[in-house]
Amino acid sequence: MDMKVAAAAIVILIVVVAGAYVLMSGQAPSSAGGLPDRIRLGVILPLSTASYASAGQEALRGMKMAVEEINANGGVLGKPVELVIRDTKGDPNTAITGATDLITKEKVPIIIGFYSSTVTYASMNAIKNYKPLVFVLGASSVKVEQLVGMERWFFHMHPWDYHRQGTVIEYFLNHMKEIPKKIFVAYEDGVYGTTSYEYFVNLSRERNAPWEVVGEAFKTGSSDFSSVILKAKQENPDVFYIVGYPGDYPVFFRNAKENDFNPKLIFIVAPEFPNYPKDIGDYVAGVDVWSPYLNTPEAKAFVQKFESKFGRAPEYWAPFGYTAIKMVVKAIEDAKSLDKEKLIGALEKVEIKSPLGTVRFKQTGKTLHQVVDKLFVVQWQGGKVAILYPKEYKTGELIYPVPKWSERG
Amino acid sequence: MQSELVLQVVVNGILLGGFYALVTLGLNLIFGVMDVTNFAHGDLIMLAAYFSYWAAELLGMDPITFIPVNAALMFLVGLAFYRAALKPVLKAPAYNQIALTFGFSIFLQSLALILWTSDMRQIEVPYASSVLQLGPVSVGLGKLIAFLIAFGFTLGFLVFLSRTKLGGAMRSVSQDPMAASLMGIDVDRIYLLTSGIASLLAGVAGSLVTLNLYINPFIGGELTLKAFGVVILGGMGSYLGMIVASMVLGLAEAFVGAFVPQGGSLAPGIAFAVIVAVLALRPKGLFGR
Repeated sequence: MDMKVAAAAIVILIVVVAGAYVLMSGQAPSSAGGLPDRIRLGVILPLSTASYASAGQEALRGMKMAVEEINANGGVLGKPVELVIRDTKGDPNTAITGATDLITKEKVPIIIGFYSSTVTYASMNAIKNYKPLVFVLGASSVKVEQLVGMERWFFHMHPWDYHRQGTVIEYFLNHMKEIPKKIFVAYEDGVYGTTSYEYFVNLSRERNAPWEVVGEAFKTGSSDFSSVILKAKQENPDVFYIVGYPGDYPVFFRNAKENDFNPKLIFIVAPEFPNYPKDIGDYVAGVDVWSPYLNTPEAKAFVQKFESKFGRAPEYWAPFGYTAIKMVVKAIEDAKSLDKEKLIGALEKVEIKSPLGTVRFKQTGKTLHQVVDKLFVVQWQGGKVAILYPKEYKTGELIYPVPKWSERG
Repeated sequence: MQSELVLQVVVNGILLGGFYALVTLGLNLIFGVMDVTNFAHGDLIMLAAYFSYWAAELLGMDPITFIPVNAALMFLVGLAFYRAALKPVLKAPAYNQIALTFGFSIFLQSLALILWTSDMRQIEVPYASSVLQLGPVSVGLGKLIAFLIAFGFTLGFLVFLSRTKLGGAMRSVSQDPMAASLMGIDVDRIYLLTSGIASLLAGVAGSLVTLNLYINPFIGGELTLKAFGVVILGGMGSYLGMIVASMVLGLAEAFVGAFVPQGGSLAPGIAFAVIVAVLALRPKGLFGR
């Protein structure tokens, strides 16, 4: 009797475990054609608890907009697209668990997302043995680039460090009416800031730039940068170049105004997010990977749609997320399959018009698949952004030197 | 030029110190009276900053005029915080209290993420970014206002503590709750009011934060850290120590930042090195009990 009960219990246990496994594995049941009923794309982004969450949420907004559009037009290969989302919480270990989960349990054909060089580096290092198909949106540190090298499974959206600093130096050298003589670089003391500074110094030297560079590190997120400003004031530079995070810049501008520090130009990274208040943010110039002021039909349509949905202009992570989904879905359509090799082949050939311009994957010499390699230089003028570089997107001229704080309205 | 620079650095340091004093006041109060270290204090300031943001966005209210309302709102938050969370762990071991306030800090951050998302928010206060030129020294109006209000509230609070009956009761409870209770003081009520007042002070600090900073759900962490530095340096529970320590921290950051190479990055670290050095010589802090 006991044996029968035990046997029944074991059978029930096996059925439950097997059932749970089938349910948990999350694979959509296949239809007759070999493709699943839904095209499930893996997404991994910082969505909570870290200061990166704002970028992650913005990228996800863009991704969801793309999925809505695709599904409204009948999906891909007649199947609806679905995002399987994991939150990294900005933490490398959580990211590794999430990515492994997407690869081994959810078995998604591709993982799109990742943000922050530190988290991406740890994740790629942990999952590289699976050779999963990944499309990394963020991460600009060349340490990630060196880690993945010429791997065919690695696709990358965001420009690398040297693209950004290369653009800045190119602009200062060949597109300003007067080449600056002295540049003071204030950089945040993490990997992003220090690497950027090193690139700025080294690329300046390589290109025989005539300016003198003075560098000073700062701690990101501080409530006051007056000390850095006072130091810069003593140096009297033509350009004050800040490499920090969005929350740092308004504090810098305010401190510059308070300490009456008047360089000919304040230049920053990613000046277009968020919308800086006009009384301190005007005349600020900077290097950006994208601009909501781009004068192309795709960018305008995207910005308009985003604004009507969210009541404000998109930051660059939204078009990144949007474009990534569109590129992947186009590749699936071309490959007519979710097979990894076929998908890689199709991604390598994919070319679409997007809010970022016409996009495709190019070799950088160090990696095989890079989307954005050119950046924009822009300046806030009268509460709007003028695009100064590159030529084909130019909408205005640099104001230089900018008016002193005391001369502004 | 060098003497002008020193003067400017001193002014910047004092303004920073004044703000640190206000940020620390509520933390110090809860510790002094209830013997609880509140890791969520910075997050209460963050919450108040968002209230201020809401008032500006939805009602068009200036952060300064909103201070009384914000203080009242945060007072209620403080009462609820005591009833729901602090009271049950008052007699629990210290690590339970730490776990609780730490948990409350994460709860507040998550709540802010849901209510206001992780986007950075700023209230446009045009006068806050105007500048006063006082001889060779220039001062941002936003910082000066924040400093004066912080100074006023700190002073007012100290007068309240030393001159009023309720303040006296609070001091009695902080010295010996049992004796205070035997004297007829309702200790539970004092604890309740202490939590309310500490939170009210966070409300004032939160309003002032919006004059000078962009806010996001995670600004509380740095504020809590700074406040802890000040409390430890000044001596736990000491208000005079707190004011001196705030100034030491503010001035140390300003001077290291302006005169030491790569000081912008070193300043926060050096300020804490000062704390370690002081504690090595005086383990109870500058004015510790």
